[in-house]
Amino acid sequence: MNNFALGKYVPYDTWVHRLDARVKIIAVIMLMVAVFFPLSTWSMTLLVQGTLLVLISVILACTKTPLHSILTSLRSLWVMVLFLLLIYILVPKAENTLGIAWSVNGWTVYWDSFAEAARIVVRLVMMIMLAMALTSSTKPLDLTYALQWYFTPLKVIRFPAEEFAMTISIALRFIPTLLEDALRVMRAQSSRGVDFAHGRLSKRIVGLTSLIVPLFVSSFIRSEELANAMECRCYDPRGKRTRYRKLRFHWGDLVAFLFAGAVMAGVIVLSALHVDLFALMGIVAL
Amino acid sequence: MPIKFENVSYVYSKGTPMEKQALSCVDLEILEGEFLALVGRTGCGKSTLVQHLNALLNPTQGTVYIDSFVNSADKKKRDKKTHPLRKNVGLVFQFPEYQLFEETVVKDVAFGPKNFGDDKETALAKAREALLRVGLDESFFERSPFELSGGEKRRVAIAGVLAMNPKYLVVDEPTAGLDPAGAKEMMDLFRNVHQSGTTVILVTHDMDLVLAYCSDVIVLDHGKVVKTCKPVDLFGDDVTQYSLQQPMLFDFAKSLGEKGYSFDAATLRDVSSLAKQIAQGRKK
Amino acid sequence: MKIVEVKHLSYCYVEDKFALKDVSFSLEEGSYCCLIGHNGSGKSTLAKCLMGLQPDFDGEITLFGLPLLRKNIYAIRSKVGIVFQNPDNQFVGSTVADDIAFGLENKCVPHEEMQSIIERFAQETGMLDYLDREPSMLSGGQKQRVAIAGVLAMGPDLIIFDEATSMLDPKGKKEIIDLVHRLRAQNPKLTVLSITHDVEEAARADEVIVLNEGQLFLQGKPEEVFSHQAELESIRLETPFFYSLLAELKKNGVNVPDSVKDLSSLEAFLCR
Repeated sequence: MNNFALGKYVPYDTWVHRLDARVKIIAVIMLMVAVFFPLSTWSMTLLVQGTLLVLISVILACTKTPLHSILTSLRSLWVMVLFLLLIYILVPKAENTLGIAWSVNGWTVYWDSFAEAARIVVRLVMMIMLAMALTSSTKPLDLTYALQWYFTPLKVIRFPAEEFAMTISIALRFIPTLLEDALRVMRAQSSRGVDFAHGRLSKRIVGLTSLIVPLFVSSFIRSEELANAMECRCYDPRGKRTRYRKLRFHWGDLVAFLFAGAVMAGVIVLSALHVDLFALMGIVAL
Repeated sequence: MPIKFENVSYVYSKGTPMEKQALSCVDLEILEGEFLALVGRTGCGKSTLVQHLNALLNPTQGTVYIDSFVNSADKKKRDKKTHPLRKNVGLVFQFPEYQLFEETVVKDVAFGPKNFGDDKETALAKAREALLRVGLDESFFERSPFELSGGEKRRVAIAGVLAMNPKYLVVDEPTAGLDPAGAKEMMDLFRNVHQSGTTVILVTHDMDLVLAYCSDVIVLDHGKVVKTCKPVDLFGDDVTQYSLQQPMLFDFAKSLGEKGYSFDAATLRDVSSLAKQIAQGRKK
Repeated sequence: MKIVEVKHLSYCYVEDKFALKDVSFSLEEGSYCCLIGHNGSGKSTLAKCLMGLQPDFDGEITLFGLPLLRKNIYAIRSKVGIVFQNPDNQFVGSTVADDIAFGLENKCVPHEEMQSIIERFAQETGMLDYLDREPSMLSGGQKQRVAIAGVLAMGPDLIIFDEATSMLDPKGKKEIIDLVHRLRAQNPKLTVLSITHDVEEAARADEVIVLNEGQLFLQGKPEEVFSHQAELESIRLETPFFYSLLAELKKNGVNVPDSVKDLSSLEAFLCR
């Protein structure tokens, strides 16, 4: 039940872990932008995306996320890969820069199709790796606080940033508890002859009801008791509160922020100006 | 041999950093007609052990035999069809009131029998009988289980297991959260079930219950069987080393015993038998 | 000084079905009172009324001299702590430290002071080594100790335990009860109201209140209350081991003098 590789916090104390969650969120967004900017030629794409892939792999390696959980979350991509390849091969592409892969009875497939599919897959892989680097190095609660910080300006339009953060943090806190409840009810109903995995559809629906109804009931009881407990401890959703967990901005955060910004800006410039470094090198050599 | 554990070990999340050995090399036998207590501290492996009785868990090593059913670590030897086993072994988990889901009490109780192949009428008949057994009369049958009191809900849940007429009934901490009177009624119910020929296995850490109701005890600690005996044999034993609490009765008798009183442990079951023996001791 | 004063308190969840009916009692500062009664006798409703969770009650409740009214509710709650039965459903924070901090945040304690307060009460409840733990990694008894630390951090004058030990194993139960006794020894002004099924705990209290069907049934010192064995039996309540042993000894012709007040003096008497 505990196998959500993507989004699972891994408790280490690396420099990535120590970064401010707000910086991590913005840096990940900036790197994702960099990943998605198109480049003028295939050789440039290879160069830039290759560099980014190495960079992101290094960052992810720094978080000490176990290799097998990275592989588990990437594993589900292969369906996607097959699908993409199929589409790109079946739908002929007009552009031809890399030559013809094969041509049978007028059905021509260029190497460009494969390159295009590969580019998309590599982008997705980098996206997933970035998301993993963020979630495995940041406690869900810190992420919540960071999001709250970004939402604070929205208070002007009456967006309840603090209640939102409280709701999310309580939801996160209760995920393991509810999973345990679910397991317990499943065991109990299995002992009463429910087969959750096999059997006719109608039977399985009844089986599922026997799991969901008790879960709802116990969640309601839990939420009512929790609300009482919070109220007794002087919680007032509209009242003023101080904060135990504070996000702190260090100089390391600034470095990370500037670095991610520079990477993004660099890629944007290369893309917008259609720079082809190889061509430039050719000019210089001449 | 009705129930037999042969060298059974169980490891949770094997091969991950969370790996935890819950049972290690457990050998035990449970005879038909016993009212067995399985005691030990929280996390000693009691709950893991009973889940093997229903094949909810398969051993990591060793074999469990439940009548003709084989639950073995070896996949080839293991029986695949769990239905007959689960009908035979009724498992009542902690806080079973959280498993109720039907609109009416009687339908909820009939759920088990229906899953095991009874037609609607037979299942409902079994449900009514089971409800009467747990002390809930006709006036409860058509009510919603969610409007009952905590103790009543628990009875409904237990009836839901009894309705399957299991040969073995396993109950995990059935008195938790009940008041003393409710707890006593609950335990009297299991005594009746036992007297009607069912083998009852009580999982608990309440030594008072063990002393008052059970015929045999198995003490588990750190996933191992550390003692198999009669309840009174725990008298004089230091059960606090297993994080259990000696009944006050035993404690008091023990300290009087050290000062010259003599007690017949076999008949020391409750306060009145203790008082009688003290009075006799004084006459001497 | 009277910490709690309840006069003619009645409460109905459903019209004309009284959960509490004309209950009156008071608690002195520094006393340890146990409230017993079977399930459904109105004990938990009483606790909820005292915390201001059921504001539409009939009668009068006064805490620390303040009448329990909407305008006083925050002033009162900041001086009363309550520990509920279910360890999971009162654990608000995502770690032990966060949970202890929850009440402090609500009371607007400055961030700089929090860490030392958290550490102090985690130490007092024996949870200092677990500050970074998540609730799913703690036992029931440990979670209840965190709940107590969270309550203590608020600096309460009154703590209510609403069956706080009933879901724990014997070891967890003992740890909590020992902790309560230790806290009282450290702070003689702390008033404790414990709602419980554990008559052995009640035997050690200063005062015992028995509720039945929402009404006050008996009230007094443990030895007075538990001497009414027949009455208690009539409402299906047990008596503590010591008192039932006394009664049984009497039946068997052993006359124990009134000076015997507890098990150890009984033992001394029997071995004389």
